[in-house]
Amino acid sequence: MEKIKLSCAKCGFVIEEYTAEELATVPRKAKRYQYLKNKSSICPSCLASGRLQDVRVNEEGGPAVAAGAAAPASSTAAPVGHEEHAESPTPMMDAISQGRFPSHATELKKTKYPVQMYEQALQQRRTQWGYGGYVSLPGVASGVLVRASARPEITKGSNFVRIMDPCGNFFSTASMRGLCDIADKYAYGLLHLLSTGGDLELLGIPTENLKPAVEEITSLGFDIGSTGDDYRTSEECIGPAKCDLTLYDTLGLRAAWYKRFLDDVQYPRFPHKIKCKFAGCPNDCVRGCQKADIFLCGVYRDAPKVDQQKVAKWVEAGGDITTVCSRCPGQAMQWEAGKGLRVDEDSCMHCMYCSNKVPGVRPGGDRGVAVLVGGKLRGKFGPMLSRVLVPFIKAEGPDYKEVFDCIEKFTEVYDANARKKERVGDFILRIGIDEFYKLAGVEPSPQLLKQPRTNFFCHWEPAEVKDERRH
Amino acid sequence: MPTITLGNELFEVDEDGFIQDPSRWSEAVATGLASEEGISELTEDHWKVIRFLHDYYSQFGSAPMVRKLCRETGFDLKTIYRLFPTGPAKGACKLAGLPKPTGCV
Repeated sequence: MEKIKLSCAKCGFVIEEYTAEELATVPRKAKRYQYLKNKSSICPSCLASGRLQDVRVNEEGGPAVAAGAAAPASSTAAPVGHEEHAESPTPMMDAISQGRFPSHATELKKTKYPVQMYEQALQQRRTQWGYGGYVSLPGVASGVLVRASARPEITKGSNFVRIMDPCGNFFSTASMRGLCDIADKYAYGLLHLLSTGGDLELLGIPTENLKPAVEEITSLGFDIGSTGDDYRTSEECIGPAKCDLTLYDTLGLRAAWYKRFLDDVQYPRFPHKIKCKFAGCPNDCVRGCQKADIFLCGVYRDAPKVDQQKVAKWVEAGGDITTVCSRCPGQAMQWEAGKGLRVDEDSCMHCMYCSNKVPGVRPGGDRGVAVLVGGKLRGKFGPMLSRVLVPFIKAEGPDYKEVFDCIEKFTEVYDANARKKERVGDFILRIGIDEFYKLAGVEPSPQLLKQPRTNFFCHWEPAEVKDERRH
Repeated sequence: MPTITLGNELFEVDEDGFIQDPSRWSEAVATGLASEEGISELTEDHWKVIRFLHDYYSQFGSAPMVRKLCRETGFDLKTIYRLFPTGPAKGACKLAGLPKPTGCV
């Protein structure tokens, strides 16, 4: 069989590989081939730029496949992801396994994960997995994904399910044992414990086992979801379960969130995914300002509470209070040896710097939640920080109706006006911040500025400006 | 190209069973494809969704967004998944004779 490889003209790194039959029959691949061939690209291996070279190899496999990879029986129609590779040599993974620190290579080898996929990836310096996508399972709208394989002779691909984690990522050992049993029975026996989205993934479930696996997971009390254009699994900081700085009950708010929005987590209906993160205080340990489309941040409005005795004790023990005062961004703190620490309420920016540094200074009592929208790392226009939508709402349990009504109103605006596959940040950038606040029905306030308390441009509606020179 | 016989007519379909020529769609096509999607009987609710999708496609040449489908038919997304177990994009669009939706729906 003739194989056509598009490779770097300088170092010979193979970018894409096709068979002659594929190019003749599959129009998508033929189009991709023509596109790559006609354009100048940068080689990921040697970073040389230029046209790609068209190499035709007239045999099965070719030089790119190492001798060790030929061991598994290739076309025995084995179910997805359950092939045995124990006997194949894995020199690169063995090298990684050496040393004292626990290694992922050691862990992967203990399971049914196709280790040759990783070994070949290390040898060829590029991943051997292919594209990803969603699997349609009757009655299940979201939560089942597939990762295709670029090396079908090693594995045919891997299905996986995404399990929504409980609030605070607390798993009891009993329920974890149940999940482990399911993973052993149906999957690789490998838990991807808390993916970057904050959910638990079971890897390598064969297609015919998907339905019983999902049924067993739901019977344990867990639920699957969080794929596609819906609310993704939200992440929250540990909050009142472990931290003393938290300004509202993040865990309770997330539980209420699932009670109200579970349908939107499991049934995709938005223009694009919406990631939500809940931080207990402006320290923002969950990195919501950078990463989340909707970010609820705990804030307080009054001055920080100062326990003068504790502060004095800390200063006596060698605490550097003058440095803390000089680094306060609002210059709101003043320390005098006899009189103690004084905080000016109007100048305080509620940045948590003093609370993090000085034991006696704690956040104030007038607490609530700020709603920020539009942060993201990817999307059309690249990384963006989120903007304030509502500077302060009281977060009152158990149902947090005020907060969620505000979010629902915002998502309706997003749903009605955004284009397909447009993240919140891109949508706001496209229609403009003035227009967005008008659609969302937000009253203008100084807190909505991108950089409050700095020198800024005022911008006015044309109707509001009365240019006297023209009259 | 695989084919499927519905009624007495022969239709060309793609690898997922979507008929290739939407202009040849008729109600017999929807009834014929229903069992493939795990629907035992097409009720009036099913027909409401299918007719809306087909009318929208013949008017605008593309599948509507999920939000529009929900608003125009009056069903929420959960109901649509109950009616069409494989979902609005795969199940309902197939029965309405639309080409396969692009993207990860």
